[in-house]
Amino acid sequence: MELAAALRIQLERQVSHWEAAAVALADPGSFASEGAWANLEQYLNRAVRASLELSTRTLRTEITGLRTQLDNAKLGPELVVVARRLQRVRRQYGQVETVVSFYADAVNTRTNPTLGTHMRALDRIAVTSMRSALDPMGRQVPPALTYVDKGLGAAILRAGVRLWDGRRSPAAAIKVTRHNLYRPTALVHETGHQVAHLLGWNREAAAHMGKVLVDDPQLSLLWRSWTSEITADAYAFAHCGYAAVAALHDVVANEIESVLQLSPGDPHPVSYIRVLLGVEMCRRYYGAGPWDDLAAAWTATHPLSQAAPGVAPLLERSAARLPELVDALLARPCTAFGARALTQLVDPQRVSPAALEQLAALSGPALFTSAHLAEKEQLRIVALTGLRIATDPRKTIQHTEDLTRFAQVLGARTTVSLAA
Amino acid sequence: MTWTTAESTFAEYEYGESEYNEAELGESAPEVTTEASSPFATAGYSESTWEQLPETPEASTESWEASQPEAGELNAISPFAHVQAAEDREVLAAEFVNEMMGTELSEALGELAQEWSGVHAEVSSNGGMGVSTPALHEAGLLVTRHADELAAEVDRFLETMAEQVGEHSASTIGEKELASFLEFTESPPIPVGASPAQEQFFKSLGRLVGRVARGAVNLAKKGISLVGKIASLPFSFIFKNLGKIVRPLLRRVLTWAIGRLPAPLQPIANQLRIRIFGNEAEFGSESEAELGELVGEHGGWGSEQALAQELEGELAWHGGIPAVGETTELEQEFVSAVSRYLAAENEAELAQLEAELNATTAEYEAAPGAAELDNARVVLVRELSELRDGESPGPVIERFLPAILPALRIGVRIIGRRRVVNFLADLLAKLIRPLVGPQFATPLSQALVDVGLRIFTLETNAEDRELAAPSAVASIVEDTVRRLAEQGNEVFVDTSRLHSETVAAFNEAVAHTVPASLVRGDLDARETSGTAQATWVLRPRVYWYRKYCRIFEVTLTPQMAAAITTFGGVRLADVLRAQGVRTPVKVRVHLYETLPGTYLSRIAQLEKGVPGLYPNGWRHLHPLSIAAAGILLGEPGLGADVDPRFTRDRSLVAAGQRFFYLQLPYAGGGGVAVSTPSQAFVTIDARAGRDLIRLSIYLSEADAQAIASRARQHNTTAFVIALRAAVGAAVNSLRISPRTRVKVLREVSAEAPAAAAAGVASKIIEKIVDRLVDAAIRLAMDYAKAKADEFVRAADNPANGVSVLITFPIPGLSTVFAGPLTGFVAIARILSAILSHRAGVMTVPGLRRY
Repeated sequence: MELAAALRIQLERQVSHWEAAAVALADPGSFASEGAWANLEQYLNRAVRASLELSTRTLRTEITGLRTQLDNAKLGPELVVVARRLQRVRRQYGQVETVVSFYADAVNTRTNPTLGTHMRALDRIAVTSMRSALDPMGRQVPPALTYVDKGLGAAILRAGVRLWDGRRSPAAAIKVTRHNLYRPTALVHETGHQVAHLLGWNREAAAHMGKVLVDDPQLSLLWRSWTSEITADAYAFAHCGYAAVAALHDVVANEIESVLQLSPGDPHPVSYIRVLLGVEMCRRYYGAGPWDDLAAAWTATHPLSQAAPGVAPLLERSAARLPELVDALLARPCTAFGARALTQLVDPQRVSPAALEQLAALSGPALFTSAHLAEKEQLRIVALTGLRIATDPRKTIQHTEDLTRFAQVLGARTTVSLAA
Repeated sequence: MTWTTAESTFAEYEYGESEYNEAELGESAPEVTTEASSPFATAGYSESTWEQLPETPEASTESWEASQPEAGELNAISPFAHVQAAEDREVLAAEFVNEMMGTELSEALGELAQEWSGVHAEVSSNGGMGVSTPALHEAGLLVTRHADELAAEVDRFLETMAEQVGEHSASTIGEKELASFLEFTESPPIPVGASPAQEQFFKSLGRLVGRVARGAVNLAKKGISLVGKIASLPFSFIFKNLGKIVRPLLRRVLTWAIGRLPAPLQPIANQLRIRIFGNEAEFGSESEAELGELVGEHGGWGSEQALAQELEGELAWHGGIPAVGETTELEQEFVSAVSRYLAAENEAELAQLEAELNATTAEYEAAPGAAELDNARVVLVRELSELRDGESPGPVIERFLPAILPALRIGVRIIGRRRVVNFLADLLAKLIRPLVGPQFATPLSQALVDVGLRIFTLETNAEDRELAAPSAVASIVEDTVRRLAEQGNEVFVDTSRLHSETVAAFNEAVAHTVPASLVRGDLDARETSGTAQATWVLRPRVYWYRKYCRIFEVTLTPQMAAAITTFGGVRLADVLRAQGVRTPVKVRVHLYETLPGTYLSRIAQLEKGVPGLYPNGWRHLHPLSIAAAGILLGEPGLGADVDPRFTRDRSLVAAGQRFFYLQLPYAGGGGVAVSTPSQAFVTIDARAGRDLIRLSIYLSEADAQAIASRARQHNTTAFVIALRAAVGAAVNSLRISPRTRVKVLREVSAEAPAAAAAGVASKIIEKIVDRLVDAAIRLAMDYAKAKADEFVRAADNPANGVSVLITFPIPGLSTVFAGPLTGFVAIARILSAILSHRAGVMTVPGLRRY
C-alpha cells in the first residue's frame, strides 16, 4: 500500500477513536449515575452540566475540524499536519477527561440517597457561609459542590479558577473528609478561601499583619506568608466559634515533630501556633473557657524545646503577638468588606457557647428537626454540635446524630407549598 | 426503587380535649366536599349515574351536572334488577365522592403539570435558544417517559397499599385495623428519588386510598348494601385495580404539560353556569330554579342542555380565559370515576369505565396543541419580518388566526366561518400595516432593542434585533385577539361591532407593547404615568410569555407586604415570613404576563438570568393585581385583576394574567426555600351526629417555632401575644378568600343524595367566617394560657408547622342545613352557637386543612 494511504488509514482510525471517546464524555449519565446527579440542587446540577457540556462540545468541535482537515488532506505533508493536530486533540481530550472525571468523582459520592441528602445540606451550608460576606458586598455567591474523599484535611477548588482544560470552574468544589462529615466546620474554612479570593481580603490582611509586626521583620515575613490559611481560619472562627478551633486541633494533632515543623513555602502556619491563634480568637471574644484547657494541654504536650533549632524563638515571639494578630484579622476594617471588619459582617458572639446554648434552650428538640430552623440557623447548628462534641465528647454519638438529623432536613428536597 | 416512609404528619391523635367525640375511626371529621360529576358527558357518554348537584362554596369552581339513569338501563347491566339498587348506587357513589374530595389531588396534579411543563420547556426550546421540531419531539418523548415511570411507580405504590391492608374488606375490617391503615395512608412510603411534585402526588394518592376504605366502611355502617359492588370486595383487589383509573389521569396531565390545550371538561351547561353566575356563584336550589325559569321563559328550548348549547360562547369570559388545563376539574372527574369504579357491579362495567376514560384521554391527546400555537407564533414573527415594502400582512395573519382562536376558547362555529376569520384578518392587517412599514418599523425596532431585549439577559444576536419589531407586532396581534375573545363569541358575529371592538382592543394592545415615545400621548389605554419607555416584550425565540422591560427597584416594607395578597388569599407578608425573609428588604421586581399555553414553570425555566427564579422558582411568582401593582410599584395600570379562580393556586392561570417576582438580595445559590405560609380553613360539618364547625388555623413552621420559643422561656405573656398575632395573620386568608377555604359537608341519604352538595350563599359564609375569626382570636388567648405545652410538643414534631383546630359544636346544624339555607333565624342560630357553646381546641403537627 502506498505510504500516504497507509498513513491515512491510521489517522482515520485514531480520529474515529477520539471522536467516539468524545461523544461518550458528553453524556453526564455515563460517568455519574442519574441518582447521584439528582442529589445536586437543580441550579448546581445545571451549572456543572452546562460547564461540562461546553468543555466536551469544544473538544468535539475540534475533532470535527480535525476530521474535516483529514478528509481534505490529499498529500503526504498535509497528512503530517493532520497527525500533529491529532496530538493536540489527544492532549485536549486528556484535559477534558480530567475535568469530567473530577466532577464525576465528586458527584458520584452522592449515589447513596442518605449521603446525597447530607452532601446537599453541606452544599447549602457552604453557600450560606459565603453569602454572609459576599451579599453585603453585592457580590454574586458562587455555587458550591461538596464531595467526600479520604484524607485528613479539607480542600477547595475555587469557583472561577481555570481548570485543566482551560475553562473556568463553574462551582466551588469543596472536599470534605469522611472523618469530618458530621463535624463540618472545615467546610467554612474552605469557603473562607473562596471569599478571600473574591474580595481580595488576603492582600489587605497581609498588609495589616505586616503593620502589626513591623518591628519584627522576620516574623512579619513569616506570618504574611501564612495569610491565606489564617484568613480562612478566621472566617471559620467567625461562623463556628470554638467548634472550628477544636476541630482544627483534632486534625493537626499529629506527631510532635509535625506539630512543631516549620516548612518553608508552606502556606499553612506551624500547627503549634495555628491552634494557639484559634485559642486567642476565643479568648478575645468569649473570655475564659474550655479553650484555655485546650491550650494548656496543647502546649504541655508539645514543648517548644522539641522544636527544630531556630523554630522555637519564632514560635515564642509569635505567641506573644497573638492578641494583636487576632485584632488585625478580625477587628480591623478592610476595604474587602466595605470598610468594615469581618466581625461586623459575621458576629462571633452569635456562636459563643452561651449564645449557642440559649439557641438550644429556646428551640428545644425542634432545632434538629425543623425545616425552618435548619434553614435559618444552619451555621449555628453546626457550631453548636461542634461545640458539644468538643466539650462533651462522651456524648459524641448523640451530637453526631443531632447533626445528621439536621442535615437530612436541610438537605431535603424543596418541599411543595400546598397553598400560597 | 426502595421505599422510605415520609415523616408522619399526625404523630398524635389526641382528641380527648374536645367535648365532642371526634375519635370515630381515628379521624375527627371527614375532609371532603360533596360534589360529583358526570365525567363523560362531553365524551359522548350521555347518561350518568350521578344526581345533579349544585355548587358548594369552596375552591372548585365548576358545578356538576348529571342526569338520573333510567332504571331499565341499570337493569340491563346489573344482575340486581330493581329500582332500589339504583338508589343505593347513587347513595354509594355520592358517599364515596363525599369522602374523596379534599385529598388535595388537584394541587398535586397542578404541581405535576408544572414540573413536566418545565422539563418540556427546557428541552423543546433548546434551553431557551429557540423551538425546533426535533426538540419538540425529544421533549415530548422525555416527558412521556417521566409520566410512564410515574405510572409504574403508582402501580407499585398501590400494591404496597394493598399489602398493608391485607385481605380485609369493608365488612370485615375492624376499627383498629382501619385506624392503623388510615394512619399509614396519611404518611405513605414515598418512592426514593421522587421529585417534590411526585411526592405530593403520592401523598394525595395515599389519602385518597384511605378515604376509599373509610367510605366503604361508613356505607356498610349506614346499612347501604355493597353486595355485588366492587366496593364489597377485599380492599387489596380494589386498590390494585385503581391504577387503571390513575393512568388516564396522568396521561391527561401529561397532555396539558406538553401543550395540548384542554377542551373544557365540564358539560356545556356547567360552563354556562360558571359564566353566568361567576366563580363564586350562590348555587343552591335557588339558582337551579332560576335556570329552570330561564329555560321556561325563553321557550323553544326543551332542556337546559339545549339552552346552554344555544348560548355556548355567547357570554364573555369575565376575568380571564384559562391559559392551561384546570386540575380541579380533573380531580372531580377522577373522583367521579373512582366512585363509579367502586359502584360497578361486574367486569363489563369496569371495562367500560376504563374504555371511556381512555377514549376521553385520547381526545385530549388529539386536541390542538400549544405546540402548534408555539410554531404558529414563530412563523408569524418570521413572516412579518419578511414582508416586502407595501406588501399586505393579511395572508400572514390569516394563517395565524386558526392557531390562536381555538387557544382562546373561541367556538368552533366561529372558527369555521371563513367570512368572519377573513374579516378579522383583513382588519388586523390594516391596523398593523403602519407598524410593519419601514417608517415605523425601524424606530420601533430601535426602541425595543434599546429598552426591551436587555431585560432577558440573553446574548442577543443580529437575528434577535431584526425580529424585535416583528415580535412586537405579533404580540400586538395576539393580544388584540385575546381581548376580543374575552368578550365572547358574540363579538365575532356582528361585523360592525367586531370592527369597533377590534380597534379598541388593538389600541390597548399597542399601548401595552409599543414604547411610549411612539404612541399618541392621549391614548387612554396607556398603563403607566409619565413618558416611561418601558413596555411588555415577547420573550425572544420562543414567544411563550411577555416580560415588562423594566425591573423595579423597590424597598418592600412590612406595610406593603401586609397589603398585598397572593394566591389563596394569603398575604405576601405571611409568605415572606414563612420563608424567613425579613422586611423591610430591598427587592428587584420582575413582571411577567402569561399567554395561552403558559405554565408558570415555563417562565421560570427560561428566565435563566434571574437568580432564584430559574429553574424552579415559579412558586415565587405572585399575581400582579391592580392593587398589588399600585402598592408595590406605584403603577396600578400595570396590574390585571382576574377571576378569583385564577388566584386560587398556581396550577391555573389566565391568558394575559400578570405576575411579579421578587428577586431578593440573596436569591442566588439555591434561592429562598418554599414554605407553606400561615392560613386558615373552615369545615361546616352538617351531617347527622356531627353538627359542628371546625376552624383549622395552620401556623407556618417559622411562626410555630417563634411562638414555641417563647413558651420554652416560660414567658406566658410573650407566648400569648405571639400566638394571637400569628392567629390573626392566618385568619386573614379566610377573610380575603373565604370561598376557597370553606367546605360544607351534608348528609348523604337515599332520599336526597343531591342535598349533600347543595350550595351555601356567599353572604352566609362570610358571616360565619367573621364570627369564627372573632371567636378564634379570643380563644387563642385562653388556649395559650392553658395549653402551651401542647403547642410546644406539636412544634417539636418534625412536620412543618402546626395546626390549631378549634371545634365549635352547633346543635341542630344538620337540621338547619337539611333544607334551603335562607332563613334569618337559622343563620342567627348558627352565629349565636359559635359564641355560646364551649369550643374544643387542640394542636396537631403539620398542616390539617379540615
